Amino acid sequence: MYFENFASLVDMGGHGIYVWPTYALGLLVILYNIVSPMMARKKIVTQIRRQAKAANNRKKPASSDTGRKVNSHEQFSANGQQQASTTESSRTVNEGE
Amino acid sequence: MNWTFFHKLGSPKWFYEISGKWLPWLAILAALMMATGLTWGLLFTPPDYLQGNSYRIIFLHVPTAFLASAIYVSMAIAGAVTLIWRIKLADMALKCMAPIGTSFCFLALLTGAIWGKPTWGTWWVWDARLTSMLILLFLYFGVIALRGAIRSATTQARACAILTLVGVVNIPIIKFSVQWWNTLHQGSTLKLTEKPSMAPEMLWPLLISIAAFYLFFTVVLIIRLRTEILDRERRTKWVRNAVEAGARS
Amino acid sequence: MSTAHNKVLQAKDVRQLEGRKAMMALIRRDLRLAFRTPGQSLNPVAFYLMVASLFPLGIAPERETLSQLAGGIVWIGALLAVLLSLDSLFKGDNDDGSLDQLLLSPHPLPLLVLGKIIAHWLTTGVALIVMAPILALMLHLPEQAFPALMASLLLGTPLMSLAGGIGAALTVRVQRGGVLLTLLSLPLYIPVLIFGTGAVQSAVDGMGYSGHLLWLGAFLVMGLCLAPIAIAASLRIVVDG
Repeated sequence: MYFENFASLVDMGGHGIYVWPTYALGLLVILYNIVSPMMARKKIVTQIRRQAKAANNRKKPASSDTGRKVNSHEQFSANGQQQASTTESSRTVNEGE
Repeated sequence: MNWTFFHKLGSPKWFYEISGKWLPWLAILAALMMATGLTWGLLFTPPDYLQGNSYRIIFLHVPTAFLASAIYVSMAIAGAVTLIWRIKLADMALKCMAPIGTSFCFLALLTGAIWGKPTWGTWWVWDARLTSMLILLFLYFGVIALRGAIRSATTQARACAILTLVGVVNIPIIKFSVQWWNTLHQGSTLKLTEKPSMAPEMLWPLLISIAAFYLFFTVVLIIRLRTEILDRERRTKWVRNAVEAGARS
Repeated sequence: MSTAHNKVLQAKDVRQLEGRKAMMALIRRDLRLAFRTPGQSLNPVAFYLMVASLFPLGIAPERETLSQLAGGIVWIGALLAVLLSLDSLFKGDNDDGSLDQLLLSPHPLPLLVLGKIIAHWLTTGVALIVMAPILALMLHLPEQAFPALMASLLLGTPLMSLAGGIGAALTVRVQRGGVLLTLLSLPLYIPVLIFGTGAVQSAVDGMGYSGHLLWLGAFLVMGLCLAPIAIAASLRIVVDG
């Protein structure tokens, strides 16, 4: 290292006041370029997970205890009626997205 | 010529899977190189004869300046691919490259300005390279603003592609005009980013820093692209599966 | 033309003839529209006058200061006035549906676009060129620079109409796209400004300025060839997409 002690490292012959803030700015930009994509990814992934979960919930009428409006088809838990409810819910899945 | 490879390149799913495997290694390599290059330059190089220690800013300024221009050119290439072959991935790449390029351009300007103070005594100087870099920043702003102003995704893609292509044709003209303008008005003769014969002790960390920044750009681009792919392809089954599997980066 | 000559006319010649005729018809139509609302065409000119007056008010009314800045002010004022007028280049046609008709026409769109730009320049650029010497007088531009000013504006204003047309095309369907239009066009205007004011400054210093004019001319030729294509492509993308 070309600096004998910490003090001269900070001072850098008078130029430290330019060099260190510059490197701090550089670090900020690098951090922005790391943090911003990761935050965006987290947001999108949670969004997709939430939408996938909502779609799954709509496909299973038995588990509809979340206060949604009652689907008349839910009264019939027979498989035959499930056909109709899945087509209806698949339509709403498309609308919801 | 096997064109399936070319068309496979355009498949978002294929890109997502391949990049997922490579990303951790690229990220580690980028981090190592950047740490090496910057600490070497900051701490382990001798001070410059003329500029003293302030020249150490070069290890940030030159890589970001190179990258700011290189990214814009890459955006233009992506734009051309979008217009000619209508490959969605190319448009996604253009969209993701823009903020990275803007941040690097901004940093290049800031580091250049701060470097100017101990070297020339003022915080800003209308030197040819700095002025061209400022205009490049305007070009970046334009592309980002245009993307935000248009609603439809396909129109966004093609409009930004055309704008970037027009901009890239404009860049040599701007560089030439500003260079000409600057030599006319230049009082001092010192050039800011002039790299005369650089001593090898200074050249090596600079080269490593440049390579590190290129790699860093690639890594960040891949991360952004992967998110963009997930966003645009969210209705497909493979995205649902990938997200449910709790894929990390 | 003899009938024998007429018989030799091929189909593509006729189509080209039609294209040029269509362009001339478009120019005539735009000019007629502009003359019907003269107020709208005079807005950029009034703006030019006012902006140029801001500089002495904001900086200094002294002759020496102003005469140094005059070339730049006259040029920048013209640039801003052209930018202001570009908003209406395609907006009017977009609002009443003629833009869609233009895109559907069988004639080459770049040719029609060139017609629109020519009409735009005839209504805006020419007016600015006429105003310029008056403003230059008010700002105490040295007399030897007047020919350079006129020549550079004569080459520069059509160039600015062409380059600005690209931004105008890209933002034609954007709500309140005026500022975006400015943002997109300014990088294209910077070389024009540099060489335009360079010519004026050269003349003020008593040196030759033919080089600057030649560069402006070269840019103008390039713009005439390339800009209509870019504008046509942008229009198709933004209107059809």
